[in-house]
Amino acid sequence: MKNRLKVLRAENDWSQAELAVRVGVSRQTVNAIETGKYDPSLPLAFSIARLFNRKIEEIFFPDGDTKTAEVQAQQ
Amino acid sequence: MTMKDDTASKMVGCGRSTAAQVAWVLAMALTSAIGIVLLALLKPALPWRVLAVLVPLACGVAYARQLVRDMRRLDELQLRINLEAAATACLGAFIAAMVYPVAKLAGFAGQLEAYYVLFLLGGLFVIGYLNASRRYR
Repeated sequence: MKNRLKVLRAENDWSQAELAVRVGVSRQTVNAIETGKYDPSLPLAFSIARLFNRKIEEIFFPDGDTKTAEVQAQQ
Repeated sequence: MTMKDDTASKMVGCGRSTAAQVAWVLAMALTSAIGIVLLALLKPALPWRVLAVLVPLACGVAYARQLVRDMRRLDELQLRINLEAAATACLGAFIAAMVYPVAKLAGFAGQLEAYYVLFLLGGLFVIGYLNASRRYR
């Protein structure tokens, strides 16, 4: 699963550690999600989406879903 | 305090929790060692023999409670890493337990003490933890 977490975090000028505290996980978890090595649970994905005031599908999308990825990148 | 702050403070407290785990393990090891020495040297009466077994057992139960409490505080990735390490340790010990009797009969392994399993479990847990951590780094 891919995601736009790094972009959204940069837009808010937050470090990985700051984001980790805001969603209640470790910095290692944020890093693993950003690099695509770990897919978050649904509750954590909801927490992240709520934090950025977006829908989950605006942040996370399947690997092969290039269309969504392109649309999200343009926004 | 908000829920997020609360979660963060719980995670910050993990260091203290680990210290508590280490303290309980040391207490268990120390009381076991004292019990073994006293039982071997003094040949005490039944109540003391029961006490020599119960004290380290109580420390072990306290350690187990602390471990479970600490695992509930971990975030989901840390929990997954710990569970993968535990699975590695259990699986390795299971395989060793299955292979050991055959290896012993074949003359490749000598008589081993039961407590060697502790070292095997510990070693495999560390290997499993490092392996899982590296994968998610």
